[in-house]
Amino acid sequence: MNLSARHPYLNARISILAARLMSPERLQRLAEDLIEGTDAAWGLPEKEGNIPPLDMEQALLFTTLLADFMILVRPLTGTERDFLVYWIRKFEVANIKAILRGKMADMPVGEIRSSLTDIRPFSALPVGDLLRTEDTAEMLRRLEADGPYGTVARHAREVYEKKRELFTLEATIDHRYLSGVMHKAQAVKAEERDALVRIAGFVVDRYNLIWLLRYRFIYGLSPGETFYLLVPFGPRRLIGTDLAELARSNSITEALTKLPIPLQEKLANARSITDIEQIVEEIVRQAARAALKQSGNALARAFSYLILRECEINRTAAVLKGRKFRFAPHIIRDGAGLRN
Amino acid sequence: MMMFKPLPMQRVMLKVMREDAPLAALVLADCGVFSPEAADLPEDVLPERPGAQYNKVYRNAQSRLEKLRQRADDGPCREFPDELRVIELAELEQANKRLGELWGRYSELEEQQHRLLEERRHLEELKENLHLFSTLNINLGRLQASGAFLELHMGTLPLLDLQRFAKAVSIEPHHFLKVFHTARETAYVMIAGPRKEKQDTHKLLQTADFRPLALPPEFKSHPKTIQHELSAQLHECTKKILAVEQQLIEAEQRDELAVLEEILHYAAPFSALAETLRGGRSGLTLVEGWIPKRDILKLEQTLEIRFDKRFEFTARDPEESDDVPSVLSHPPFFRPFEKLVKNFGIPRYGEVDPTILFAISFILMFGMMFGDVGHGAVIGAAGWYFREKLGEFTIPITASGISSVIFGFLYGSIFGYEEILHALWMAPISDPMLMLTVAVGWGVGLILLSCSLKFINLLAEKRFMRAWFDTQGLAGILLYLGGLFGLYRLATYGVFGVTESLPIVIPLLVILGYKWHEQHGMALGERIIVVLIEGFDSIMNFVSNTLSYMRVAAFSLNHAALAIAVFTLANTMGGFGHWVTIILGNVFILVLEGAIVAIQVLRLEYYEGFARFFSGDGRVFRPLRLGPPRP
Repeated sequence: MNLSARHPYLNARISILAARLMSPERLQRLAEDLIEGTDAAWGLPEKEGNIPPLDMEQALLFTTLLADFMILVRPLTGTERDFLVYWIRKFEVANIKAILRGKMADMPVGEIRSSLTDIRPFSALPVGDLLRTEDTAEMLRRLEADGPYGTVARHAREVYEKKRELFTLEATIDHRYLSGVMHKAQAVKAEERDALVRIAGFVVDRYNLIWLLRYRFIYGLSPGETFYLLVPFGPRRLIGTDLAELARSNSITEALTKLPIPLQEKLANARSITDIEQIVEEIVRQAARAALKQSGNALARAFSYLILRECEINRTAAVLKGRKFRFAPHIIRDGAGLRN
Repeated sequence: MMMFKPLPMQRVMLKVMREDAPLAALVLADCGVFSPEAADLPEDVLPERPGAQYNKVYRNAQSRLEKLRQRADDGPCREFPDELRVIELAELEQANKRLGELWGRYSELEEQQHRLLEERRHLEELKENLHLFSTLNINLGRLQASGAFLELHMGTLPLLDLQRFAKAVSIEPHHFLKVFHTARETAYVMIAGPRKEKQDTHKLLQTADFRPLALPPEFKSHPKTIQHELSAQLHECTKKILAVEQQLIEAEQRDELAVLEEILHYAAPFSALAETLRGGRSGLTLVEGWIPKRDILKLEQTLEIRFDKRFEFTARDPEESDDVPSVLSHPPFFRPFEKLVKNFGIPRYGEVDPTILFAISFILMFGMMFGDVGHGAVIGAAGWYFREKLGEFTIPITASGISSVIFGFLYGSIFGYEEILHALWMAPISDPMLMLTVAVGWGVGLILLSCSLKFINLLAEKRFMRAWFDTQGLAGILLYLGGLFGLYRLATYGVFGVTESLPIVIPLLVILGYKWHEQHGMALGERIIVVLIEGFDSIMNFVSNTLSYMRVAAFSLNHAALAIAVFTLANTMGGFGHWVTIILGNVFILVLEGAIVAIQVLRLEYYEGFARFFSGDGRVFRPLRLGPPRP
């Protein structure tokens, strides 16, 4: 019996939550109203003027995404629950990187702490202990000592010992985390696996493509090193092309010509890696919307909902932040990935 | 009366000169009755934060001290001298610097130890797989030295990463990889590539978890030499590990740590106060906070002794907008129950403190549900015997045991035997219906008491509409009483007419009217549905909560039934077996049923009791103390 049959409650909750998601057109209208200052009818918090930008993001994130997440994860058990909890822990992985950056830059503890995201009750990061460490080596040792990030920390520490570069450290952490996402997706029960791996694959491949382009053509890593930092898995629906073949490319244009034709056509007008990133993110969102509407698989639907919800929140928060800092409208639209 | 509510509090304001602020902090901490609070002043009034730097240095130092203490094998908690000692910023900074040096040294040694342990693991694995190298028909020593054109690397990497690594190597032009062995989680590989591209190869090896193999040149030809070499390396590594461990122990510097800990002990109060201290350019410093009204005089006298006239101390009653912390004060007998109440929540300031009611009802209900002279005596005696281990939980356990003994006499039960003692009241199993009636009656009493307490709490909070018209207020009490009256009339006289319905209908209509009023702004249809459902919920709540108390009787019957089961089993055996069964059966009843009854009583207290009247959203009173803040 699949999850949908076992959990009609979960499917029903997802459908109710999904009804609250904004369509791309509605989100665009909200953003335009926010930028123009004519957003009173939307009922958003009025006086964000005194709220620091990160607190605003934290408030939006916690009160909406995490609240929804708690509803969705409640009926799940075993490997299905593990997958979703692992996914939400990406905010903690971001926290690990933020603490690392702060330690390497000798930032004050208070400043590092204020940049962290709180995902209680799902947090497993000993933030207090990590902030009390004196240097990066001690921090990685502490992280390795216990908790679910031990493996991530161990690899990060080994890379740190050889290459004291923040970039490689962060790339290693990201890589380990995303490998874990695919691993967890492939570990769910057979009746849930295919649909989930499909949508998780879109998400991971989005990172693969952008990382490949950045590592290879911005940071100038060799093809081998670039490939090593990616997350290969199969079968892949977004990129399709062998990642090793893409890594061998000598320019962005060459890499794009090796992509499947439908994807090439969508990326035809992209002028930069940022443009490519926004287009690929939209493709992932479309895949998530399709899975949410058409998939009979509750876990894949729940995951798709979380992807879309997070995207909606991030874009809204980006617009609010841009407005608070009085950026020009076209910069706000670019930053939020909206149409200009 | 003070035992039924949190203690009356006062908001106090203390002004001292800046140079006296650290001593003021020590004095306040020493008294143990002052909880600091941020001053409610505009930012331009007393804009300075005199203790900010001190606080920063203290936190840094305390963090280092805690890390060192965690690693040192701590003895019993230290006692510090009573005499207060002001720690100036310079001394604190010095202590912080020294702690930084100590921790830096310790951390360095820990890092060394970590690397050496990994190296040892690696060597052990190598030694285990030594046979592999002895069968290779190539001179590995030559392979490890790169030639003019060829760059060679031999080493290990995690098996998990092998496939990806192999593919990464294959992408690099003119490189190849050979896996010559896999063991557990490790793959042994050899990589060769053009020397001119060695930069890219090195970067890839660094990014991957590749560990080069450091082997002697004679590796291939002399396996015994290799064995000795590896053993020597392992031995050397182990010696280094032991040396580092010894250095770690020496680095603990316990005597010096004790001195530094004392400095931080006396610095803690000013650091804690620093977050709320306000100061002005004139040198005046202000601290505000809460203190129980009964301790004001004592604190004022202490301040006069310490500061003579160099301070100003004012106090006021709490205002409606204040978020006042709650201080509970009970005789020692009730303090363990206070902890169980706090488990549910902290009584809000001004709210009824349920601790005493909880204690009495808990003890009585436990006795009712577990009434047996013998079992009760065992529980009471065990509670007293293990009092040192149980600490403050000795009292609830012993009192529950005594309650069981008393009810045991009422039921006439001793270790399950009901023929030995004459019941002062009756054995539960002899009249289950009466037991259930008594239990329900007990429940009705408790529910009415809870509702009354809620009514009092709502009046104290000035939420008058809710107090008079909501389910949780007087209307709810009247509804419940009306329902009981109606049921009584129906059960006793078989009538349920207007006289019986009116006491139910009138309060219900009042409640529904209040809920209707509360839901203003809602669409009409939705409003009707919500009001009807909430009204139905109000009635069902009372019904289910009342019936829930039947478990009090159920468990007393259960207790008797379990005993019957034990005796039935025992009677099937002869002599020795009979008594073993009796003893083991009683142990089983004591442990299992005792635990279940305790949980059920707590459940009744929390859910049917507290949830009805107790908000539990009060603020904990955290007084300033010497030493680091407690969690």
